[in-house]
Amino acid sequence: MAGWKFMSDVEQVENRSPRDIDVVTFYLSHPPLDTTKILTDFPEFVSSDMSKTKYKTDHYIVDVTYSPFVIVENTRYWLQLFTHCRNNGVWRGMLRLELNTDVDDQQALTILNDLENELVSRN
Amino acid sequence: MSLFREIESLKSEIVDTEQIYALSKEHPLMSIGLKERLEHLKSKMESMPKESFEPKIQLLFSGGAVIGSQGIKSSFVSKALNPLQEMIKTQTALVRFGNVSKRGRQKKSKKAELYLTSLPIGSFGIELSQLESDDLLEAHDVSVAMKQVMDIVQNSCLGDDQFESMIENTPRRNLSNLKTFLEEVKNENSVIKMESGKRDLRCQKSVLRRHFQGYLLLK
Repeated sequence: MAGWKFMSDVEQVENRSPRDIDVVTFYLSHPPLDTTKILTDFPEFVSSDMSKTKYKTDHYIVDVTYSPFVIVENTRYWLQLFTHCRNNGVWRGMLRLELNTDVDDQQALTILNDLENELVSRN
Repeated sequence: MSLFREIESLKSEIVDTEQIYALSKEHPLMSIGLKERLEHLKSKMESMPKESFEPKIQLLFSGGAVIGSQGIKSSFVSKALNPLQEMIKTQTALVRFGNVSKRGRQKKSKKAELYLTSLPIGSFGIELSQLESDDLLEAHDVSVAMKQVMDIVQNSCLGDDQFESMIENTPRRNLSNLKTFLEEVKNENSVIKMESGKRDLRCQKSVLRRHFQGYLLLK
């Protein structure tokens, strides 16, 4: 597939496949989330170890209803971490995706399925 | 990135993560991922090698030779790099063969050639690496030589006793290269910071100037 790579191009630069994708979810807990239910039914949402193992996603969360100071500090922390390559300081990009966008999600799924079918038919 | 820089970066990330974890510790969900991240970073720190023998050296300059993190005078780089590279070559010969000739051309060694591989910032500097070696022992020797050159430069910036001891124990060929290197640094009123493997050093302007004058008197 031809195209521009927006994020750090490890396939080219480090000659390897990406190990995972880094994701930070900023979410509203109004009404308050059922903590026990999340920990039982979807522990990958809160545990980066589990999300990395199951989905290859290094996932963290920020509850934007918790405390203004915590939001500011989290924003600073994740921005400085993910907007630069650690080894050379070069800028890299982040994508911001809205959640609960059913129509967009369906379109994305269609595109991914088309790509998958195209790859299968080539091979 | 040098091992020293990697460890410093990791330390800073651990401190930052500890702060963010402390702020979110009471949150039943946010705290879980941050705690795991902190443990992961600490475990990574424990697994870092105690010493690196990568044949790579970084030099950062401040003062007249640079403009902040934006750039470095090309004329300064061209004058300062040659004596430094010669010092590393001489020390590599010393590490490998135990002695070096006092003057004249050194044995030709394409593999001891260093390449400019990066322009590190904070302030501004250069990184030199040995690229052509597929011989681990040779890479090790060059790496040891780089650290010895750092010792020579560092002893030029310490007290009089260390300075005199350095003069006595350094090959004459390298004293001459050291003089040229320090002269270029002094002329630009610069501060040098050097890193290789886990080692780092910083030479202040005033100390450098004092010892450089002392060295000229000894000559």
